[in-house]
Amino acid sequence: MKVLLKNIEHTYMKKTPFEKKALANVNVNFEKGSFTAIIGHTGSGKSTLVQHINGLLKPHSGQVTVGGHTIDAKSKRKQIKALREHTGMVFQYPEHQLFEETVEKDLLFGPRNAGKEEARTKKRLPELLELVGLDKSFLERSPFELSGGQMRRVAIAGVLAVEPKVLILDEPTAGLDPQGQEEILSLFKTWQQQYQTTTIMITHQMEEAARLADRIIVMSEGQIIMEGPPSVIYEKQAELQTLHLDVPEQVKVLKQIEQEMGVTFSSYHLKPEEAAVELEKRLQQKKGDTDV
Amino acid sequence: MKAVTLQNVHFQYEEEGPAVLSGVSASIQHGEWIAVIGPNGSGKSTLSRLFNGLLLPRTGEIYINGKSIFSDDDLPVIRREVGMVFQNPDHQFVAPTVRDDIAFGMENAGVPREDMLQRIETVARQTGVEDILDKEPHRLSGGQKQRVAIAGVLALYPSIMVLDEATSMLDPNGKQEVLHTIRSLHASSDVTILSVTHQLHEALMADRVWYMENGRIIHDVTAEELLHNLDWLQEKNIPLPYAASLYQSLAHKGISSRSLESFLWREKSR
Repeated sequence: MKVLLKNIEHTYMKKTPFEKKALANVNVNFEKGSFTAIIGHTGSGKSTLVQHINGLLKPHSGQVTVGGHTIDAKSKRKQIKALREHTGMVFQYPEHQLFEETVEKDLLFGPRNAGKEEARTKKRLPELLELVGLDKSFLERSPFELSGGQMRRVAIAGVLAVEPKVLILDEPTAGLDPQGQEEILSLFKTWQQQYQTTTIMITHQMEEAARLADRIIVMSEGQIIMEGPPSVIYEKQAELQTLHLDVPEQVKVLKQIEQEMGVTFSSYHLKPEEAAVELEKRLQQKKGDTDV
Repeated sequence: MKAVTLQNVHFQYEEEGPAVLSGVSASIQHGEWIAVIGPNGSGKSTLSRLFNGLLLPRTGEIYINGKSIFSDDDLPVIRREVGMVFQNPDHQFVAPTVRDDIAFGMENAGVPREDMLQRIETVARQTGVEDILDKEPHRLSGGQKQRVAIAGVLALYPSIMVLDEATSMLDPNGKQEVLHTIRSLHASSDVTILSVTHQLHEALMADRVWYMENGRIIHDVTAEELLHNLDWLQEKNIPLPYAASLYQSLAHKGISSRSLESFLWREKSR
């Protein structure tokens, strides 16, 4: 499902001393089945932006279109609800939102609210749990006796159970160990490819963005200031640094080695083993040159 | 006398429940910085909660500065000597301003007012929060919040500071701020530090690293030894950061890079 944001403006605490313009004139499209990462400093407007897509916030001016539904400042609650049916949002630390007695009940809650047929949802639960790295033995367990990582998986399964056309992820790997991060990220990638879900992920980690997204949006002070494929964004090291955003570790490391050793890598997207092989080859070439 | 001695410590949350710690023995010297790494569920956080008796071992012994954690007379002293900083910056505040929040622990400990003012000034300088003492804690950034939490702990003059994933909920800048604070604390004072972390590059800043798995310390090595033995981290399916993984691949080929090494140690030298 396609998402269009047109001239979006949003101001918090309007007409108070704390008034803050959170979004100013934001225009952006998310194509069906695309995977976009949104990066920006704390307070840059990332969360405010995505909250417009699932109807948690209404724009003060401009229009949000999700599939066939458009909302603006004058939209009524009922219209906003229609938009919410198609979008699933994995909030930060989603495990804090588990509340039912058993994992099964928790997973059925969302689809029931969205008006899905219960019998069908029930049948799909084992498959869904498997996708998030758990098995059906978890269905009867209390979500509160699970480990933090397991709770996160259950919470994510709860969002996926609604089969959203648009999936919004707000720092989905925060606080997980590196292995857990890998697993969660690859599950979202699998889901996006399998269901052609339009996926939008907020992250602080450039590495995550580089690995998953086909497009990166950089935000600062309520505006989109860069947009493009990861390889293009990472070339703009100086600009990113003025925004206090880091280029991925690998770009930094490879550039430093280039300077130290006087070599050039074919790309900054090489895997570590590939970079090592390439470096070895370049060094041998150099040695050959000086020997002659 | 060691700062911390753990002797064959066993722990489980429920009588019939699974063992969370199964036979941990180790010790920490005064002024040493230990980083604890390992997968989720390996017992890292549980271990850190034993240091000031938040949890008590089922069997085994823990001595903090020579005092047993099982001694009812010594436990209040141990609680004062061991400061804890937790993961969530929003769960650690009680007072309307940063200054009052730092004072809160001291009020409970009965520190005289004159002393208190002096200590607030000192710890605020150590953690770089001098300029925000009159701010409301909930209006601060995550990094500032954690530094205020550290200041509140330091004001009680602990001899041991336990940080349980204190940076994992922060954005990259916040992480840097807090790590910088911990590093300068380590360099300028003799506080013993135990930090639980998922980040390999944070662990490399410490003097020694404990790798935990299934409730045991499997490796107890210096940071240097860890860097030279990355193979076993990889065998355990622990994804290495790019620089570490490249370092490892190059080491296998006998290539060394000064810039790569200084990148890996960047936190130490800075």
